Amino acid sequence: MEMAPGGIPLAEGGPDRDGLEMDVLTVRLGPVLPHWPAGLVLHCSLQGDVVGSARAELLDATGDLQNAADGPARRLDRVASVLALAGWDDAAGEARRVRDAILDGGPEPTDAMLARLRRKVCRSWVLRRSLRGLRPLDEDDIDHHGLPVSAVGDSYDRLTRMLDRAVVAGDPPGHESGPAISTDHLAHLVTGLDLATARLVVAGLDVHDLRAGQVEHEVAHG
Amino acid sequence: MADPMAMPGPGSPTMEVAPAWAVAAVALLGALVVVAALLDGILASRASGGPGRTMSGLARPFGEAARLMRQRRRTTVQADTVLWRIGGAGLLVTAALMVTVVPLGDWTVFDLDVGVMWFNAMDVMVWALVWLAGWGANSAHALVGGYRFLAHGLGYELPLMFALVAPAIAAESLNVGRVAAAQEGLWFVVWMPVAFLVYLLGVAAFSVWGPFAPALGSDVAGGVRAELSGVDRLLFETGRYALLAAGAAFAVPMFLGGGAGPLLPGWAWVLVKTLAVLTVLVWLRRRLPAFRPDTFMEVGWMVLLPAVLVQDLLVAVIAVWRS
Amino acid sequence: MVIDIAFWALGLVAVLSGAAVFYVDSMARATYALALSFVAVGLQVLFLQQNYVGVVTILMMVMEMAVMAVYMVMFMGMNPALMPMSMVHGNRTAVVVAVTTFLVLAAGILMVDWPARRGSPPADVTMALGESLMGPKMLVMAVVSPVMVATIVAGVVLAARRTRYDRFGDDLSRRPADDPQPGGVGR
Repeated sequence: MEMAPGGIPLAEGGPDRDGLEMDVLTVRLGPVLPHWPAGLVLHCSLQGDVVGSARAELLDATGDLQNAADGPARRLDRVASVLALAGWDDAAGEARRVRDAILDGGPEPTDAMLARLRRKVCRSWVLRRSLRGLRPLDEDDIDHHGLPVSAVGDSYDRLTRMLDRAVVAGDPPGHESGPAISTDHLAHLVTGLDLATARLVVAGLDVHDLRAGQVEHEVAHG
Repeated sequence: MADPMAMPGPGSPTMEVAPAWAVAAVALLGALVVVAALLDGILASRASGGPGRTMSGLARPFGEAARLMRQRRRTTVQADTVLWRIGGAGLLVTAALMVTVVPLGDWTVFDLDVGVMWFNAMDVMVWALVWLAGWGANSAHALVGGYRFLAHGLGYELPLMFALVAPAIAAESLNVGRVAAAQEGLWFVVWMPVAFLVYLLGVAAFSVWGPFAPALGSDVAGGVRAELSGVDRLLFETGRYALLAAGAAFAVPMFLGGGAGPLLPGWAWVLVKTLAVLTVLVWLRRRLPAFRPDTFMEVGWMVLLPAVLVQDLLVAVIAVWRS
Repeated sequence: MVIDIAFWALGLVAVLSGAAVFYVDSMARATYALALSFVAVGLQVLFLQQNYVGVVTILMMVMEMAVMAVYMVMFMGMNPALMPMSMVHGNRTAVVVAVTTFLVLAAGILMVDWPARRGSPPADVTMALGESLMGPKMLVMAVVSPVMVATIVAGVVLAARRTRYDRFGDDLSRRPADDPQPGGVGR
């Protein structure tokens, strides 16, 4: 009997996060996904829906990913992604509207809209519950992974910080261009998480620039 | 061989109508589905902002249905088609079976003496059906969605069961008509609010609705329905709305006094109350982010279950003391 | 007449879908064939006017099969490689045991001198069944269920590799706890 029904080879077993053996399924995330950094491809080995190991790469890495969009609008885009992935479509829609208003530069008072969005997000008890404790990072992790300082804390901290920094409109130019995040480190951040939380963590990083890692090694979880 | 499903004995407060009326019950359920879909369409358009969106919101469910009916069926490699179709179409059937025990004023299609258990058994069917819909497509994203639903299921099902126990204890009957009749003067929602809230959460959960929608999450390309297309998808979505409507309808005899109310006849009050509960459930989706499946089970077992058990205990003590 | 036909048709469904468990070649189909068999039996029980028992059978069995399917798939293979696999093993022994059991039970049914009905069934046969099953032993029944729950909990606690010292540190003072998969309450 050929072990490839329908031309798909059977999954092989492998040690999982909890010390058991479970089938490993290779799933590719990206390069084009809703609420996902453009061009990022994450080759995941899934066990159930837990990312056992991951390898990140960047398509079209030579291209200039940093386009003309300014800081606050980009951040609101990220905020909208996190909110949509957290299953709160309405707040995500509101974030997108504020972003559009900022980009249009129309007569609408964007500050008031932003403040309203921030209040709404910060008041949600369920959202806090669901993002608290997601991939907490301390100063050492930040240094180690080469992440911007704003990534300290858990996903909830990162979300509120993104909102805060969007509220403080008009970052001085050059202020936000910290070190670009290497794809190598990104893979570290999502191993051991399940698919949903991995997506939340990736969306919640205030990543404004990705660069391809020097080493395309496989990152496996302990 | 005895006649199956004996009547709940003499003095049943509801009257069983001829089986052919089941068609009318299903039609009523269909009308509620349309109302719920319209409401969701309007709320979605209003949330996406701008004036004059109400009309586009009204048209949205019909446009979506027409689009899905014209869409060609997507096929996947090595799909388990039988189980996939059963899962996709089963939700609607389950919802129809649920409303058979709900009395509309004085009439009920199926005056079962254990109607509350019947409803509970039907909502457990959803476990199997949603998982099968996720399994059958032979797609990783759909399967992840199916597992997410079961993860939620482990968290919500026991609190939901014990929430249904409270009215049954107070009414000393599992017959839905008697539970409704036992609320003469004081609706159960007044003195068992915890059970009512947990019940509403349970309805949202078995309809894969609002905070319980990660099984259909956009992060897994639509989860269970990732590969569902055309009529299959239409049936699945209709089934979700139908479950929501059936859950809302069942809340009326269980917690909201059934057909009791001034001026209007009983059946009208049942419809009014059902619509009110349905509106709250549809609106809930706008207000709440998702409960993550990996953390919800602890909430269900450490918070909801003890809360609803204390509620049951209180109800039981009061019921013993009253009798 | 209609009732008789329905009853026997359900019996046929129950037996055939029970047999299908061993005939189909996928774990999901085997599991849900078994679920269908149980649902048919539950509906048959309704015909015996044991409504509560019948509905509870459907409820419990569908739930159990939904969970069992997950375990079967988890331990024995994954969906995106739907490898057709045989649902039988130890074939010859199983057939012999099954045929023998069937013959013994069928012989028992045919040879036992069934008592004739005395009196008429009570109005609520479910209550009568419950009382005759456990009426005088209610205390035992009431004690057995907490003991069973305690056994399950104790078994899980003993089987779990991680202890509270892994979670809270050696002096049990680490907050929040160090969990590979944190729960939702934030213990």
